[in-house]
Amino acid sequence: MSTGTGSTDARTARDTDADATDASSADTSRDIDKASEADAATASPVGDSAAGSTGSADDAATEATDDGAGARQAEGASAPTRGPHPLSAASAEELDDGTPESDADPESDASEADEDEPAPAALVEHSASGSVDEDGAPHRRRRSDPPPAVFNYADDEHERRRDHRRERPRRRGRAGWIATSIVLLLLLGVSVALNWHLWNTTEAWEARADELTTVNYDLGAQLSSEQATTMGLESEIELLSQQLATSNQRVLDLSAESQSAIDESTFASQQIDLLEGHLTTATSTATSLQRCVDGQQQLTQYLKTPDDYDPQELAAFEKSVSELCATAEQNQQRMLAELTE
Amino acid sequence: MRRALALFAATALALSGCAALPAEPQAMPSDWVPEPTATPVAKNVGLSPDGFTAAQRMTLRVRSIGCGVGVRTGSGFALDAFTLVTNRHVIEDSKNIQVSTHDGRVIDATAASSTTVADIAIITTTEPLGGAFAARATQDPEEGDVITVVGYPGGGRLTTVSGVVLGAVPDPVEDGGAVDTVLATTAVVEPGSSGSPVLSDDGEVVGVVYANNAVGQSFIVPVTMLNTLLAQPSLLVPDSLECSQS
Repeated sequence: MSTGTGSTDARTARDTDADATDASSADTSRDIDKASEADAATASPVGDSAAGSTGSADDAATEATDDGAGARQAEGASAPTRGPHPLSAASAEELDDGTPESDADPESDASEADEDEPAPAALVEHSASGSVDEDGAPHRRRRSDPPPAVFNYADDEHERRRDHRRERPRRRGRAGWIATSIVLLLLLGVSVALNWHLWNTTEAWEARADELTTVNYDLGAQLSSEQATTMGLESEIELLSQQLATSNQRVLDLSAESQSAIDESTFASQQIDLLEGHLTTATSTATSLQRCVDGQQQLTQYLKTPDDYDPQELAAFEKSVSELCATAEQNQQRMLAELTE
Repeated sequence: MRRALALFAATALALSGCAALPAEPQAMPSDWVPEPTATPVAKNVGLSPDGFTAAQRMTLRVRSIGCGVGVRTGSGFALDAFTLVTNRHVIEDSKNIQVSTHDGRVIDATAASSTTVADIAIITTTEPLGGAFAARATQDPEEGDVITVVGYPGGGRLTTVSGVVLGAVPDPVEDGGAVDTVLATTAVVEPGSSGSPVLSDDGEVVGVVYANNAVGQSFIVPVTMLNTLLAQPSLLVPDSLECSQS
């Protein structure tokens, strides 16, 4: 846990540094860094991880109070490795706690430290010597560990690099915030436009629903009226159908009566024609019979005084009367025959 | 890079959401009530101008005035506006033939012709008979088929009776003249029904009534015989409408 404790201290210092960076000026931070680096560089890597921080003296004091145990642990852990230092552990603790590191991205910082800075001989020596944590395990350098405390280049160059490292995360953070803000603004704009569109669409559909409801009621009223009219018309149709059926039956009856009357009239006409024929025959028969009778009466008179007449003329007259009577008898027979048909 | 991807994904999601957004309603339609059609009755063939059925309108009453004393009546049906079919025995020894429609109109016949192969006669007129004409079937009815007879039994009113086809039988009338079998039915007919059309369920003419018997059966000339006669006019002999002087 000694390694973990050291790391926790370092993260605490970085967090504090991140907050303090926004609140303080760069110059102040740089000045304090100078002082803290001067001390912490010779104190221990843990102390250096707390170095480079900005902030006011009060914040530093407070953090020093909070991180006192960590600092002391760091000091204790580094003491066997680094050996004697011009500054006392207490003074280093005071400076270190008041100057937390300003790295916002410890990993990048560590990686940059690994990549940019040459491995110091002391660190190599430190690793080779196999520094030991509190739990007795050999200490392994992590990316979150501070860079080696011993550098071979000048302070200005070191400061410039540290400023550079400090500015890059700051610019990255600012760009991220700007990008996030732009995205959120875009989403806000899209959401507003979407709401506006949906609002208008809802209004339009509500208006359409109202219109359809009105039209529906109108159509319902028309349908009801038409149904009433249809029922009335159907009733009238039924009544008219009954009247038509009755009229048709009456037409058939009248037609049958008419045809029957025509049949009877025709038959009567035939009967009249027949009777007229019978009458004509009877008249003719009666006439011929009358002439027969008249002839026979005349012949009877002639035969009463036969000496007064020429016998030949008398015989001829008698013959003619006989023929006349024969014809009359024929007519009578024909008439009787017609009457019996 | 991940932020750019997230931004791109958010934009794509927003645009895809816009593509599925509901649109505003279209213009309010006003043509959902169709225009009423004024010819719904034209398709109904069951109706007629005077309320009578087609069978009633095409059936005619035949009055045959003989040379002697007496009037003989029968029935017939119109083939077209100037031609009707009846029985030969209805117009035999006639000096005058009159045709009456269902509504009482009387039309004089101008000519008649008959055949000796069946009790069938064809009468022609100069005045139109009416508006309904017979549709002849192409096949004879089968045993068990329901038939309808429309005629003027007894010379009375127009009457419709129904019956069932009993089957083909020889001509029951002595010297009836039929050269082929006829069909017996259960339809009750009377004198005066001779020449009545026999109709199927479809309203087509399937025969012509020409006789009956004492048990109430009626006999009909099959429609195939009628079709044959109409297809061969040489089988029809014109009848004289003058009385012979004897």
